[in-house]
Amino acid sequence: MTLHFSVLASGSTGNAIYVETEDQRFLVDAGLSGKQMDALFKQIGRDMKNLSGLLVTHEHSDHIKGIGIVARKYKLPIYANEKTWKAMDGLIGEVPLDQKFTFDMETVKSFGSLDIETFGVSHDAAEPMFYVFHHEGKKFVLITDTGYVSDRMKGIISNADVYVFESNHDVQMLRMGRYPWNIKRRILGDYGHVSNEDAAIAMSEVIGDKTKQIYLAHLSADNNMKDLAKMSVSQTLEGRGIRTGEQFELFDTDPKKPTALTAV
Amino acid sequence: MDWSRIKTIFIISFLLLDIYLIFQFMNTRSEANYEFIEEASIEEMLKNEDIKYNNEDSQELEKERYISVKPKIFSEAELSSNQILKIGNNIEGTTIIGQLEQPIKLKPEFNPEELLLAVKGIVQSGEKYRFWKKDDLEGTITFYQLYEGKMLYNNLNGRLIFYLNEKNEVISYEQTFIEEIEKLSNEQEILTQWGAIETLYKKGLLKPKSEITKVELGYSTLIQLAASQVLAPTWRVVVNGEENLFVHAFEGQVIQFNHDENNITE
Repeated sequence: MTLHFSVLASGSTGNAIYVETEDQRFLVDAGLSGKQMDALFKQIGRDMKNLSGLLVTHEHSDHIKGIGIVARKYKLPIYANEKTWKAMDGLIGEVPLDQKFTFDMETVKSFGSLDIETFGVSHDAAEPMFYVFHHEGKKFVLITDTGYVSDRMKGIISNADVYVFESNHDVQMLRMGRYPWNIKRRILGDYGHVSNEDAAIAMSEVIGDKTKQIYLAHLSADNNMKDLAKMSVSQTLEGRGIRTGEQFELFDTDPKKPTALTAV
Repeated sequence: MDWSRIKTIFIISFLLLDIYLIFQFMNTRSEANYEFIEEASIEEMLKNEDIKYNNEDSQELEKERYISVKPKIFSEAELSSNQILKIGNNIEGTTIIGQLEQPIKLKPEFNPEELLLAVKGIVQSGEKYRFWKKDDLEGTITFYQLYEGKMLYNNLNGRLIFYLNEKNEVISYEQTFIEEIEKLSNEQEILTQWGAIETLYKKGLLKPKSEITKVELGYSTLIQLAASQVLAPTWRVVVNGEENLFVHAFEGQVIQFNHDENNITE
């Protein structure tokens, strides 16, 4: 069985990504209520009771809102780095010690046939990190919640089969929008979120001959549109000599509707 | 000493003092009871500043959406002998430069409709443009394209410019045309005309004793992508028939074009 995944929910109202192999089933973040998580799992025909563990990217509520509830209900181990654990203290309720595990940044852990690699991103959290999944020669990359994509990150995530890549906002929509200026500055800053255009530029530098699918994620509800994100990314890529629809497909993600369970 | 009399005097004195203090307290309290001042309506604010606008029928909420547009790429095959494609554009083939075989003499009283009629059969889809401005210094007459009857303000991809010679004759033109238009988002409520006017007033862009001569809805470019544009519904507010002010009809933000486009048009 190959690596399968579904972006269950993506956006500032809650994030959760499901990844499975024949012997492992992980949930990356649970930024929605336990009830909403249950409903999302039902939609992809899976059950949270069969999860092997929960991986945390950072302590923002749109990523951890349901982590404690899900972990306690199904007695699941939670993996996060030390600084994130400290930052989550008091935010996710009591978690028994035997369910708390440390997963340091820029390390690799093996779970059966699945290797999970972590790498740091640039975001206004304690120690935000994302994940690369390696299974039977396939590489699946998750990267959202970062103000920019550094050369170091590019090195780690290059030439993946599938990307779930942040394409948060259109800069002009954000500038014209009604957010207070301090919020706009935060989003546009190095510790904020990646814009459509910057995401495309970063993608153009990491896409390789193996790359088949890119899912645009963490789209802002106020400062972006699905069609705009796809249009902006594909045109920027095209300007750099990379045509979507030929070598790879571009997909969007939704804050409430899971993507189909897809093989990497 | 008559303690009983002294006691009575004290009681009466303090009673009088209490009555006086209560009277003072009630007075102070009633003075502090000021009326709650409601913020004046935009109509009242304009009236106070002697800013005129005569439109009663403008509070209705309309719905609009963002649209995505792409310029037409003209092929050599569809050009006539007097037309060539401009080179050096970002996207090749989007601009036609045409020479008129016979110059068109303009009447002293310029009528844009007459000009469009005169170039019918020469300029492609001329009826899909609406007059924007005549610039006597530059010797140009500019039209912008319409979408569902609404003008695409300042859109370089949907523009028709006629060039004049010294004899006030139209001798040539330059044309771009938006061909593909897609609705990009779900319909959302837009600001009312008064909402747009209020935005401009609060930003200090409406001067006292001025007159709002026209308010209309169109589209302006919000996002310029490599091969397409995203247009946002935009209120155009004309002040004293001289100055154009633009407001993003969803976000209520003032849109700044270059200086010329904010100056008089029709």
